[in-house]
Amino acid sequence: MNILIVEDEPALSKSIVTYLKQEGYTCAVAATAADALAKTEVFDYDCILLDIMLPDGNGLDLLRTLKRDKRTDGVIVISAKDALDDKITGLQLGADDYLAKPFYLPELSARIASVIRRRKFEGSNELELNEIKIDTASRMVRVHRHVVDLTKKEFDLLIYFIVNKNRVLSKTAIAEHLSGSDADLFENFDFIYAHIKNLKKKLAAAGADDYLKSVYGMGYKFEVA
Amino acid sequence: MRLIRYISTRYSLYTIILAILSVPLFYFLVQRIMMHNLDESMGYQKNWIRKKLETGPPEDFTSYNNSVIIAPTKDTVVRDSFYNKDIFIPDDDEMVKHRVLESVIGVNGVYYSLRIQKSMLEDMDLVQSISVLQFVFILFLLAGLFLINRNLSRNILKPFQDTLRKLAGYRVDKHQTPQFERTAIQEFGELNRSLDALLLRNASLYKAQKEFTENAAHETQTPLAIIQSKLDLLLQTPVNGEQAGLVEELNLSVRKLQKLNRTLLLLTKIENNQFPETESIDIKTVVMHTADQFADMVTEKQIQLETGPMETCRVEANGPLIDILASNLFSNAFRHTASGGTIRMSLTQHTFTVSNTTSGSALNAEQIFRRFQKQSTDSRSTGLGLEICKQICELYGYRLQYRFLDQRHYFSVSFS
Repeated sequence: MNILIVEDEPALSKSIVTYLKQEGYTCAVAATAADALAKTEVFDYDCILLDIMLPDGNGLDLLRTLKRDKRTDGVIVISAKDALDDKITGLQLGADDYLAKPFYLPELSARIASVIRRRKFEGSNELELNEIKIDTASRMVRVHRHVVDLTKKEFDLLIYFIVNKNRVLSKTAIAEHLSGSDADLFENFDFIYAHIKNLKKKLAAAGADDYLKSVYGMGYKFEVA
Repeated sequence: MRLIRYISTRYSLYTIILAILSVPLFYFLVQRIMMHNLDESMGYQKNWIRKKLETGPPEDFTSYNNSVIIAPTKDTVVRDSFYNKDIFIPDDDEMVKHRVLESVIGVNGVYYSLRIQKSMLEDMDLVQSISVLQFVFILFLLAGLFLINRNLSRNILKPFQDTLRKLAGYRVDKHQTPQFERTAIQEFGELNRSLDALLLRNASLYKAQKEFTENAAHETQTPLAIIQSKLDLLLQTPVNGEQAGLVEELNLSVRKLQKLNRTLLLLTKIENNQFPETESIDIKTVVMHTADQFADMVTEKQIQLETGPMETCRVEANGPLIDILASNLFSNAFRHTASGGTIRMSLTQHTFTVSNTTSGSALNAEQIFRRFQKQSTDSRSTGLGLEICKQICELYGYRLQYRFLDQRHYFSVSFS
């Protein structure tokens, strides 16, 4: 999977590349709009991470160009600007998703995976991990062909864990993934624990291996050997 | 007291005093001059008579109306005396004031008493006419003064009053610098020019400050994003529990800074009126949507969510802003409700109310809507949520109120 990261801040693009490479993505970085345009003319990308504020122009203009040329690359707009207007403009222009800075890398990874799934398979994609099969379109989870009945939160959690498998996920990142930016309304993140406990229980009951590990003091990890 | 009245009363007072003094003064002065002239002319007449007496008999001087009477006298002291006297004039059948010269003259050793009298009637008429004329003149002067003043305050002061009115309505955050009326008066022109310069300077300072807030908030987002990404990477390296705990605390602080930045940006944008688009919004839909958004969180925290009467209420406003208003009021209630408490929402035709149970006491109603005035010790709260609500309400002229009743905090927005 090819990812183009259009971001003028080298420290940030380096972090993103490091994280995504471990996930098995091939990453290219463009620090300017011109560079990004040149790269998109030569290569096809599965997903483009597009920062709106670039030294030589607005990322939204680049997005307009891409959409005008009927490119099929998935685009996730990243912006340090206030979410409201850019988010609306970005999505109106045909971006697949929007992420405000700062973001958690696992969250970015989950968004990229979701965009690629939707783009590649027109929404009906089977996500498979050993004995676990997930149809992300119908939100159906099967373990050894047994249907596992998960709540919306548990389902989101499972996808999040599988996309970020073998990664330590902090409780705050998980909480924000589940509750959006309102996660800080909770005094503690005990509610995550309840969801994870239920998910573990349901997967175990269906006969799945125990992949979900609690990492002491850090959070959780979906461990796949 | 109005400036024009202040000035005009002083002018009028001076004019009136001067007029009151000048009319009798003028009267007496003119009268004196008249009398002096009469006396002088009678003196000349006497000298002429004395000369004539040296050559002719006194009978020659019999005159009309007995105005000159000459009779021999035993008195030998030559003297003149002038006085006024009312004398009956048979022709007019009335007493007429006369100026009289009585003197004794000696001609060739014979002494005569001489009496010359002249009617002062015409002269007095003249004096009176002049006085009346002057009085009328003063009346016109006062009337003119009054009319000019009224005219001044109506026309010349109009641009000044316009300036005052526009200044009273001016607000630096409303982005409109008032255009002052043109004026022919130099001082008012200078005042307007100074005010223009002052307001322009103010507006640009205000704008610069706003832009600074906006840029500062923007620019901090990128370093925050870098810190966040490095923390995420750090967590993937072999770290022990203690280090992970530190990373987690850093994570929380980064999130809080981010939220603070975003909120400041939003506040700046509301104050800059950067949400000009409005649409007709059904508040009921917004409230229901907000309740849906928080449904899971409410369940997680074991809070009961009650909805009271829900009437139809429509407003003309910016959609995202109204969403933020509802969601901020709700999250505020959520944050301050303990597990097992209840949050109640209700909507009448004009008012949206959110209330929540509390174990505490009433909040300081004056302080809660101020920036960074946190009434709780919750470190996650930015202290800006209610400030945003207040700004949104101010933008559209809604009334945001706080009440405390039966161990419940009530926050309500009146849309009318």
